[in-house]
Amino acid sequence: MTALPDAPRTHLAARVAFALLALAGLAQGACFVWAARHVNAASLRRQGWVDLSAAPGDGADVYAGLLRAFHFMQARLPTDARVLLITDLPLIIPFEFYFLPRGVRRLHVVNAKRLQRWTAVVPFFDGKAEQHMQNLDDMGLLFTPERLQRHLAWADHVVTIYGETGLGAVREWLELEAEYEGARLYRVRGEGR
Amino acid sequence: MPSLALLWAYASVLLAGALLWTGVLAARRTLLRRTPAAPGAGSACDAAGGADADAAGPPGRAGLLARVLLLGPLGITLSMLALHLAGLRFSLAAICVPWWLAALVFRRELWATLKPAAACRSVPRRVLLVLAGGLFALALVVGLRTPVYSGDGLDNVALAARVFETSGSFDFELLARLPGVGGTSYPPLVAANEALVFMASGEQRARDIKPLFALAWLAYLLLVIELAFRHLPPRHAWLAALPFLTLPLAGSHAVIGYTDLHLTALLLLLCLELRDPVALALVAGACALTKNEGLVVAGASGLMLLLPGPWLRSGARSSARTLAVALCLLIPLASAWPLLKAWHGLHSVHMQAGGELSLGELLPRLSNIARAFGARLISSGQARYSVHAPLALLTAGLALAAARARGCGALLCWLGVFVAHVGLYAAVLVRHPLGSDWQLNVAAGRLMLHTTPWLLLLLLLSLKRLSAGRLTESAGPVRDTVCGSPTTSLGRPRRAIR
Repeated sequence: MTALPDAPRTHLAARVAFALLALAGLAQGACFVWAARHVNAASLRRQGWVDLSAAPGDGADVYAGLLRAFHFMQARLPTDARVLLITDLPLIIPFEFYFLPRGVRRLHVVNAKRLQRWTAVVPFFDGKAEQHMQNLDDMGLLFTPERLQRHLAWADHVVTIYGETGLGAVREWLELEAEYEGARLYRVRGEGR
Repeated sequence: MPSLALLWAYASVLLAGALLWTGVLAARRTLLRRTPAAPGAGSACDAAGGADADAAGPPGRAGLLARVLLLGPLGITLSMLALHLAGLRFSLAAICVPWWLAALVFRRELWATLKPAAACRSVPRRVLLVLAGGLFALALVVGLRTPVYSGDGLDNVALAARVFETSGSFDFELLARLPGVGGTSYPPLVAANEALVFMASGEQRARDIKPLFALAWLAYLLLVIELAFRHLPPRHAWLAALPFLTLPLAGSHAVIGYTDLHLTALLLLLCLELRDPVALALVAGACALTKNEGLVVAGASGLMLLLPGPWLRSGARSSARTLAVALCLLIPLASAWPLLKAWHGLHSVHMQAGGELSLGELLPRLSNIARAFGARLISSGQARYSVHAPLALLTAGLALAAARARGCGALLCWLGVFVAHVGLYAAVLVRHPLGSDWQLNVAAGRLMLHTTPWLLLLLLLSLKRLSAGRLTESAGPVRDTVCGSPTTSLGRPRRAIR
């Protein structure tokens, strides 16, 4: 009589592995659902308005605040507007995403002391404040009175974000059109050009 | 509620994917002369669901959906590239209507494609498919509540998409003039599809693109399931697939709007379509248009096509004509982005040399890279609670045990791919002009995500060997896959069991 072949037998390592995989998959799945709930709560918090004039505590909150501010601004700007953005934010945020197809230029009112405050939020700035300011300057984005004059001659609207430190004397050429917490939309008067 | 235009845009993406896959199947029918699979090879689920023995066969319903989801964005990008080259302005109608007309012309072929092969109907597979559906729904809901507002999702992709939308063309000159963003460094596939959504969307555009990423995740989930059930019997396959389905590293990308999940899912599809040169060329081309890392994948795929050993050994014997068609498909797709960059005089910051490095600088950098990759495997801002590192350790242990027990042909092949992939990233990071610390901080988790398909394959092959049992050991060699070809456990071509 011919003996029947043995039933397939799984290697001990494979059995242990399958048990570990089941454990890992289930544990990770449970954590995943928890994390998704966490992300959801965080996203809702981030979409709430944050006070842009306060000291930066959470970089993500600043971004989310800008999102809401820009939605507010772009609804009030004609599509052929030429916009000058003046901001105290040292981060090069792609503001153009919100303002295109409008023409956009920008100036960052930044100094080394202010950058130091941002180190807690963006570790990249730690020890690189000078280099970052130089980069902004090389790209023509660092605020100077000359650049402000030149861009004002081109722009028909000015949007200020996170403070208006650099406006100074040219403020009288600007007419406030709308305000959304820390962000303001100005129309440039004829004599400002 | 989404607008009709938005729904039409998303439907057009799916239709483009279905038509491209129909083209692949038509090419497969025309060009591939398949020899019958060896008797006894593969389980019932294998034969139905697209196993090694029948890798060139049609996938099941879930597999078909995954292919449509991944090829759709490629189709839309090709439409936009064609419009750009013809000097025509992008618009919803100009991009979408040709696909609907093509669907009308090829409706019979399309209908035949949409009738998938009977798939494995095991309970574990159904449970995993339900789980995949649930995870997709979760990602969709969370994603729609979190518009893209920061990070690379905005800087490198969504901004480029906005430029493409408002300019009506791939206006790289305008993109290059925008300060401080990396849009010109990245291939345009995801941005092009976002641009399509923007054209159909309104002020909620930053939210309306989120389904693109949730759908990419769905494709990833379905392909993980397909790959697991192709290599292992259902009672084992679901266990192997589960940790990869719930991988937070992948899940977080379904929400945040980065392009890495698209590339990872395409790499999974590449693993499944290795034996079909035409499908391989199309998928590798899609990789090249998705991320710069995909250019390397396309190059490796081109080398595989030029060295037809794996196909000559496979059951699906490919003719020179098939390989020529595949290369004719791959070369334009893979070279489209480098040519566009050269034409517009764009440069990529990620590809610039980082200056000369002394040995004293090199060693700390390498140490940093190893440490950052290790840390990101366990936890990072985007991948908390991940078991990626234990999974990698488990896979390494299993591969070792499997190699000791039953030889190591295919295992070595995939281990080589994994090591080469990680090594390539380490080499790029060492030379990165921004400094490896900066890049590691933001990219290590993402780079590890790209290697997930090789990790999954290594795990599956190890488990396949170790769970093959005494019967297979005495009856003959384990049927294995080296680049899709059946081999013995020593990596030699398999002979049919008499």
